[in-house]
Amino acid sequence: MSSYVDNELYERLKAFAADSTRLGRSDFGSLRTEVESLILHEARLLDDGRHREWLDLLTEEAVYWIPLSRFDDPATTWSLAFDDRRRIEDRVAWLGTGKVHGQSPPSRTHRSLAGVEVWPIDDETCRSRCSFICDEYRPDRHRRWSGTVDYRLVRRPATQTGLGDWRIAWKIIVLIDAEGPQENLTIIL
Amino acid sequence: MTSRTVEPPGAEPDYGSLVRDDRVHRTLYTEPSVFADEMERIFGRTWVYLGHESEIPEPHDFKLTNLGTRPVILSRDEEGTARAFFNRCSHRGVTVCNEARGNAPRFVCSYHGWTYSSAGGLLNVPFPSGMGDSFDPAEWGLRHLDRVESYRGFVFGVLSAEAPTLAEHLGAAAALIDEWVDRAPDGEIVVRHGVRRVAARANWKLYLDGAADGLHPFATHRSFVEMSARHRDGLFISQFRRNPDETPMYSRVLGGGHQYLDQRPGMGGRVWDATRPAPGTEASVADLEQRYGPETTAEILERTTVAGMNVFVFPNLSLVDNSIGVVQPREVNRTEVLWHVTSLAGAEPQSLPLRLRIGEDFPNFGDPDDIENWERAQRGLELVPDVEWLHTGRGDDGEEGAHYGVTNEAPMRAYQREWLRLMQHRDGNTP
Repeated sequence: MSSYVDNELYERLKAFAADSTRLGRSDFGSLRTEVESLILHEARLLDDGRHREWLDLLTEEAVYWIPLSRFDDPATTWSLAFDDRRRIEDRVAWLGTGKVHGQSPPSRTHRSLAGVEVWPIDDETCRSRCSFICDEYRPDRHRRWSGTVDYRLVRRPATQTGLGDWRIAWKIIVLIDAEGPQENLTIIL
Repeated sequence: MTSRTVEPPGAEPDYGSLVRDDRVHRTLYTEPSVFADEMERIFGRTWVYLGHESEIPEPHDFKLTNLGTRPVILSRDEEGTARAFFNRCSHRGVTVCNEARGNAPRFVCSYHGWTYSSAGGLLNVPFPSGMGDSFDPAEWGLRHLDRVESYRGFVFGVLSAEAPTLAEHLGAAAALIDEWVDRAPDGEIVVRHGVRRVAARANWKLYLDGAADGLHPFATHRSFVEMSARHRDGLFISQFRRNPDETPMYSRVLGGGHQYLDQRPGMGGRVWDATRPAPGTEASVADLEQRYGPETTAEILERTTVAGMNVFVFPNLSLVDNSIGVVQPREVNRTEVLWHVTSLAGAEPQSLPLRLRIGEDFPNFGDPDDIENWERAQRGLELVPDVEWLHTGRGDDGEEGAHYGVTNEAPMRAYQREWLRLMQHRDGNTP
């Protein structure tokens, strides 16, 4: 079941994505170190195809969104991808069927993250933005996905001591060429 | 672009020998000269889909589109008439409009400032006293397409004064466009919810080959079928989990190269029941039921979910699920498909996000497998000249209007016959 994707969530996502262009200077204290540990780990899990472990970094009410533009309203515009937790799990299952022809043989990917910035929201929540380049190699073909990622991160409950203490609630990937022609996107960005 | 003008006499390709009853020749997909002829004889001669009225609702709204590879501006003029003209300054050839869409009462060339109206007419040139007396601005407007006509909001253009009317061109496809559009309570669709541009390193006709192909899903879309089995006992896309010829699904040849595949008979009584859950399905259904009650909600959901119809209008318009796909040839081995998701005029606004999320499903988990296979086909066709033919002979051709089992390749053969008819006519002859 997935009943958390509603109009209120769309409103919050829209505002969150657009706010990314209005942020002031970020926090370079210990919070940034914790967040960087999380998202570097995330990038490595994806590069190494450890999708099940990657799922564990996401909250139960996660959103994975690749809009056509940072200023889109997901309630009125479709997206390159808009997944709730259920569709993210479908995406992992889809890759796991072994029958995605564009992943046969599987891509080799290499993610480079840079410019990690962090802004605290409250004790349990923060936002982060970074630049990324994801190089994807398939036989005879090398392509590059690039843009920014905006994260909304929430702290795990205190009883658990999970990796980095933070989990990913929203991951919003803004490709620089989202509105342009896209070659087959079969990997998780 | 075309090399025809420098061809020696007698070099006209014998296209008739390349398209046969059960096979077509590989060079249809691989030869730049064939592609150049297609841009002249197909996209330069028959009705081509340009865009939808709702993309340019207000005076001076415009969007960039194409007639084959030719850049075209689709514009609504001051009087509210949809116009289509080449995006090519009459002075020196510069593209005068360089934004994908917007609102502009004037198109001003960035090179020397020639200025055109939203109807394409030349309004003024800079420092006109220097032009001389013989210059006639009426002669130097942006070149219009010969005719622009619209059907149920779908705007088509043609670069031929002799072409049949749009209604004649659409023929039997018109009734299916009606059926697709009439899901809307107000009888209109709205095309303003974003464009996904999908690029494939493949010839544009590989898209057409699959437009009513019910054989490929069991092999191409195995990933989608298996993933879908995770939910509700694998009900979804179950019409392709057995021999599709043993389902009541059917395809039809519509004439004029148009093709049709009706999936609905294979999807059980209600398409909604065969729709995969999307992000927000539960919240939307609960919201709708609270507002409208369960019976009305059932009707709303049935028109919110995918249409279950695949309508292809030769050469470049595809209606699939709730989206309009525009086949955009770029080069002989490079194609884009521009997908525009639609909404229904008069529909309950609460159903829109659900419609959009459902609309993302197949593009994410189905299209990639299609594109990969088109690209694999293109590689094989390009790299192995020793094997000349592709097999297209599955099933028999029936009477006009026949319903085919969906693995029959009759719709593909039918568009190839239309392709051949157009390609066998050189300039100066009316097909």
